[in-house]
Amino acid sequence: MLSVRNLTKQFRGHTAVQDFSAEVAAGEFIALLGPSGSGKTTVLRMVAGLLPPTSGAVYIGDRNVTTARPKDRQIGVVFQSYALFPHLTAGDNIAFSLKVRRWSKRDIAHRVDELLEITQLSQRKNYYPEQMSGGERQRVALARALAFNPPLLLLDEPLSALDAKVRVSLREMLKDVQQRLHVTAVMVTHDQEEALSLADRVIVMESGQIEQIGTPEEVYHSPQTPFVSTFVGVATPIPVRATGDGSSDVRWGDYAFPWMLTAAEQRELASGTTHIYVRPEAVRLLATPLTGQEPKGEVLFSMFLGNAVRVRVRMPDETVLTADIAGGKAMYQPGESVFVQLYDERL
Amino acid sequence: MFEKWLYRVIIALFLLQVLLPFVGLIQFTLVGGSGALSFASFATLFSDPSFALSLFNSLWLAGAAVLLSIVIFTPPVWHAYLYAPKLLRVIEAVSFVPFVVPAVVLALAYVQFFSSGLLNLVGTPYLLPFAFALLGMPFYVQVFLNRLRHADARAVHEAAQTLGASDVQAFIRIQLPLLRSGIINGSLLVFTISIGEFTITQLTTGGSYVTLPLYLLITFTNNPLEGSAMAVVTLFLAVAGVVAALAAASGKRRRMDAVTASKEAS
Repeated sequence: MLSVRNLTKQFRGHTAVQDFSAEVAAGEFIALLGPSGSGKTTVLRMVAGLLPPTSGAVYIGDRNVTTARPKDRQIGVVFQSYALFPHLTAGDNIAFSLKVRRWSKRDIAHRVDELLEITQLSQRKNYYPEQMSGGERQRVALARALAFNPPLLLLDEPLSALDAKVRVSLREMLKDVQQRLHVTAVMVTHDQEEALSLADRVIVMESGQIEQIGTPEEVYHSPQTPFVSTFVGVATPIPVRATGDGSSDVRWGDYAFPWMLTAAEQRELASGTTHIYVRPEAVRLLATPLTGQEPKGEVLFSMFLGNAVRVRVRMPDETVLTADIAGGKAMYQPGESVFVQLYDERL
Repeated sequence: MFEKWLYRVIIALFLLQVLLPFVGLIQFTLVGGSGALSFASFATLFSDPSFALSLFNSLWLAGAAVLLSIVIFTPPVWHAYLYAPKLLRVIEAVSFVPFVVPAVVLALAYVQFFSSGLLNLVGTPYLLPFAFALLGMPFYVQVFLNRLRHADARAVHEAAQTLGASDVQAFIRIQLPLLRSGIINGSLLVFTISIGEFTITQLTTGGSYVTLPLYLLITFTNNPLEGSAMAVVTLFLAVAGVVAALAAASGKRRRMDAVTASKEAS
């Protein structure tokens, strides 16, 4: 549906986006995930036609729209600041694209009412943007972008300006609307939780380049690069060697344990040492060792997260592991000794 | 307690230094001639045909200066703000030049440049709207830029484009209403500066074209009482102008509040 081919953008010698290519299927929800300055918004603006690429091409279906003006691309865009028209009511904001397209008054009224209902804004039709809350403005921006039935919807950090509770409820509404209208969506976000929960596939970006494209599960459980490991979720790199006994276990110091390695990690391991990335849920804390091999560490601190307790443990080689203890009851005191078991739940 | 009174004394002193000259002026105008309360000076002023003519002259010159400012300054500042940030810095720097160059210098430059050949306009009022627009430029550009920055004009313009509007449609249907307050406030400043401008008018027309400030000076020299009446009229015009501007600014908010109230009531 959307095909982005070798898109590159340079600003006065600085490369903001390098050789970005991605294929998006019809009806798919894609999240462009990365830290500030990773180039994700630049990609979105090039797709929308708001920024000309230095090189590369953008196709919507079979149509090359690389040089087409934004108005001719048929793409709905939700801006980070919403960019609502302050002198128009919610209803008139939504109707704008339809008036420009010379829809009949009856059709416009029907479509506006339909979108107000979908976004639960029927009571706010005659309100001006400044009379609405942040969440309501965001929904008007979404309804406005969808009004003219665009096949593709682009969202630039659509939930970043909202408080945590509204963000979660709008996240659900966004997914619901996207699925109900079968619109293809590409969303830029720096919030990994948002990306993993909303998207069918996630494109992780760093320094203008794609680090990994995959389903949320792939990106979380099988990160392809050290950056993805540490940016998506919490992960601690630890150096491991082969056990040398022919098993698939790896050895960290004297502790041998089973671990699923990526192809790159396996290649590295064959030549000596590789780093694996250990997520908090893969770390178990024991009062007494199970096999006698588990290394002993010292609790630095623990913090209550609601549904879990997060514990930071310093190991003899100075590595600091993070463990999430589900249930949220067990608290550990700083200085307390614990034994650490590493458990790969993918196995 | 002491601090509270100190604030009150400071505010009272401030108001006194602002208001005393005006109180003195009004008092002189009303009782200055015979010692008894009299409105005769106002009657003399309003019956003088030169007053009406000078008022008319000032109004059309100020109106023309406002129109010129809107037409000349608005599009480049808007365009540079949206698409050419480097050019915007140049425009901003240039716009401050009339601020630091004394009006006398500007007037002498006009006299030099427009005193011969095809552009022999010295002695006519036709240079004045351009000169007034130039004097008002720093104020107009800054006020308009503030509005552009506050209104998130770039994102709003891009939103209009992605929704299918052409550049012209987006400018007329979205940008102009969005930036209206900046244009109006900038225009008010240009208008005020134009109405009160004296130096350039005097030097480029040689006093042959009488505007309100020139009329004020002439009448004050010939008849101080009528001159001060003229000053009082100018003062009230200024106050009325400020009140009208504030009323216009709050009008939209009242309309919007009314919409909210009626919706919530239903």
